[in-house]
Amino acid sequence: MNKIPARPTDELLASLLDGKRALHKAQRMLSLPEKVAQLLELQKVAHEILRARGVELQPWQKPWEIEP
Amino acid sequence: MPSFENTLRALNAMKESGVITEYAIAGAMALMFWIEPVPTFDLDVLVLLPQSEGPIVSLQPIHEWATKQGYTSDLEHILIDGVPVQFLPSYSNLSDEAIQTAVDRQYRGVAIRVVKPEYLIALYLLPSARTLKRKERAAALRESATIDRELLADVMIRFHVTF
Repeated sequence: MNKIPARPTDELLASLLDGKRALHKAQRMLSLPEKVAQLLELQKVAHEILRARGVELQPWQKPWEIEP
Repeated sequence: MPSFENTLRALNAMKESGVITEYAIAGAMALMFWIEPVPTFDLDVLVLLPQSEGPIVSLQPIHEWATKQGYTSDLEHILIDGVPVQFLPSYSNLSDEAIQTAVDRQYRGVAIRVVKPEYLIALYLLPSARTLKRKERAAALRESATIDRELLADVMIRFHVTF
């Protein structure tokens, strides 16, 4: 018996996309020190991912140990 | 602990010392001033250097200045207060204009100069710099509300850049 895959409604999809836009807008509106603090966290995540992938990193390619 | 504002102060000090005549933050760090931050591990700074006698541009004065300040450096970067900074001497009329038209911003009271988003887009889309990642960044900037569409069109036409 063929099962019909469940799909989200157009309304749900629109709502999810609106939420994504709102999140990006909120991130754009952060103060610069808040953005630098966010960057420092992104660096930690990116560094872990690159290391896990076995990417050969240069010595300077590591999270900054600074105050935002 | 080192701080980002001290890194920015050092850029102004370098300009005041005359080692560079002008600078503007570019690359992924410049994005932060216009849209959301993206992961990057260095700070790109476009610089105009003082007129030299010959046609060859040298970063030697910048490295000498950095050494005097106690900063360490390798071939590509100078570590300024915990931040690897890459100084890129202006390499074209487009990058000259990007530096000259950069806007003033403040970071915790420190005045800094940042390349306008319209010029960042054009720099990202130069054939020599064009990568998938940079195209994505250019697209993200273009979609942002802060873009001056007329200026973007003007820059892209004059410097023969296309999406």
